[in-house]
Amino acid sequence: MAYTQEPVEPGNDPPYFEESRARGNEWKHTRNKSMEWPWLPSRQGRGRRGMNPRTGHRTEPPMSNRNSREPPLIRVRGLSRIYPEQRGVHSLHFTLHRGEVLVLLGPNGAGKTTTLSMLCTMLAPHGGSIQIAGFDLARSPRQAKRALGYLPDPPPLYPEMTIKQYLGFCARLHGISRRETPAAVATACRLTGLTAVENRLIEHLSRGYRQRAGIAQALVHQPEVVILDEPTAGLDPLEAHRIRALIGELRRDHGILLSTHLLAEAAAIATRVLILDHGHIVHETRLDHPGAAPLRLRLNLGAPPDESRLGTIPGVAAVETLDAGNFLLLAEPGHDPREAIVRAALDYHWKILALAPHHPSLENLFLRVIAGRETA
Amino acid sequence: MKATLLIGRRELRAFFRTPLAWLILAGSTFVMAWVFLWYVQRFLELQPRLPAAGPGVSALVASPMLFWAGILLVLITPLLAMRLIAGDRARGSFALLRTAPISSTAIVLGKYLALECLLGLVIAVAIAMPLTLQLGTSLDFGRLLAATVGLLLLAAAFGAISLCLSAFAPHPAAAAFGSFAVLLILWLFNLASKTAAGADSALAYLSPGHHLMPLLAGEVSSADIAYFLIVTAFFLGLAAWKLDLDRLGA
Repeated sequence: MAYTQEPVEPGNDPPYFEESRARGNEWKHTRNKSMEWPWLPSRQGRGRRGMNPRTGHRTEPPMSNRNSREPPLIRVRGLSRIYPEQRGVHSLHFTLHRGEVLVLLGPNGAGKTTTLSMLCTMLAPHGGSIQIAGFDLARSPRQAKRALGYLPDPPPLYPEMTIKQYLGFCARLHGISRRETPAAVATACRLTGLTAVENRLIEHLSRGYRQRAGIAQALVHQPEVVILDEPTAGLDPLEAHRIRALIGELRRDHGILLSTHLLAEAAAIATRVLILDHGHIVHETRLDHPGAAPLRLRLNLGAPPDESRLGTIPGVAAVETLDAGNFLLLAEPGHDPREAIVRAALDYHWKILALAPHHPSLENLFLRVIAGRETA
Repeated sequence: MKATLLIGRRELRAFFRTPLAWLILAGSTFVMAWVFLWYVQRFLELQPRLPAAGPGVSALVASPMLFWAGILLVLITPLLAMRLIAGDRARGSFALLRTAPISSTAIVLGKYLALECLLGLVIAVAIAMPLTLQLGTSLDFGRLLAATVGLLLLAAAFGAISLCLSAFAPHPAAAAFGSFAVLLILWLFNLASKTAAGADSALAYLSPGHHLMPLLAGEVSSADIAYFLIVTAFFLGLAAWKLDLDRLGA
């Protein structure tokens, strides 16, 4: 699996993928029954899955119990910014809760940085609304910005300052009082491991330390939302691993939104992934509830029957043909149809060659979603 | 206001951490000292031939020397202003100010404050030179005060124009060249100061030099002061507008 290629923190097992939305021709439903995904609202009226039938807007997947009591830290509604030739982002809807690490994935030009720039007020949206910690970014930009820490790529550093001076300036800029600034700086330094170098000039620091200084800058005023654009870009593997570990720690007290093009990184730290393509959210995947994910099985048969025949096996919700004799089966939530599959294979002489749980890597998922859209 | 002072203080400190600021200060002091000594020398040569009630040292040394200080500002203001917004943007640190809970006006005013402090220092050095003549003769302090006000107003206008171009330019070098070109052209408008009929031309009225001359000669007129204040306010407003425009633009 792709996400095991890079070091994963101890105690942080590779996550399983729980798909919240299947789009396009990814799954062919072979039964006439509605396959309800456990974390999506049920199909209502004329609406498509996950769409609010009244507004036509996408509804959000409900959050885990811990988060559901608290309003979201980021609430994005119909966010658009249109450039010529259909570029830009189109009507994005998503939320971010405390304790979440939401990763924006997508090919170059998909609209990741545009989205982050709009959330950080670097760009004005053409449509839609953004709420940060309950404040509307258009109506109360100051309160919203105070709740926001942003690390752009490259980090916004002043090389002629020491870490301490720089973070002090950042804290004061975000409205921390002169009296509270030293404590805020010390906390940010401690969190990011900069205490030992706090009196050194930024221009004399290594790239890893500069990146940490950039993260410290985003944390120093203790915002509720931290937005990181490519936080490990250009770092060596060890330093990148440390930054990822730091993000994992920060998750406890903040909501974190980050963009990356590293799939392994997304798999290692994300609790939820949004895949963007051509300015649209084309896929949303939760990575933090392995138990709730329906079983996926990979089946290899020597004398395969028709695909629709496999779909009639009890407990099988959907079937996808990968190539001749190879199938991907999605079980109904809470069901394990393996025994039924083996029995059917023996009964009907399908020559079963292999049957195993299938955990697609994020890379597979990404390629399937993006490539699927390109061929569509 | 707090954010403005904070940004201004930081920028001023940053100025003195770069060799460019020290080079500019040293270079401008050297040039002004040279010009000052040249005018003193010329005054000493002219003095025996001057009538008793004729022009004194303030008119023959201080005023022309301070006019040269004005020309010097045309050269150094673009160099000092280029790093303020265009330089910040080029190295990516501008995002910090853009995403902080402060207005574009506070950003522009903070950077402008730092620039004016530095230009004020250059002007203070320039004024200090003719003041030393008080040791050997008596100066016309009213005239010197008017000249100081004139130079400060000139620096205010030049600073605003250069900062505005720094906000518009994509790169610090473009900001420096652009604002140098604008300041030079404005200054050269002064050469077209008289029309054939002998009246002041409209073009000359736009020139800062045209409004500086009377102040250096000790004539304080509200029209000249208003010219500098209007130019300053217009270009600072334009700079703040450009920063807001960046959010809307592509």
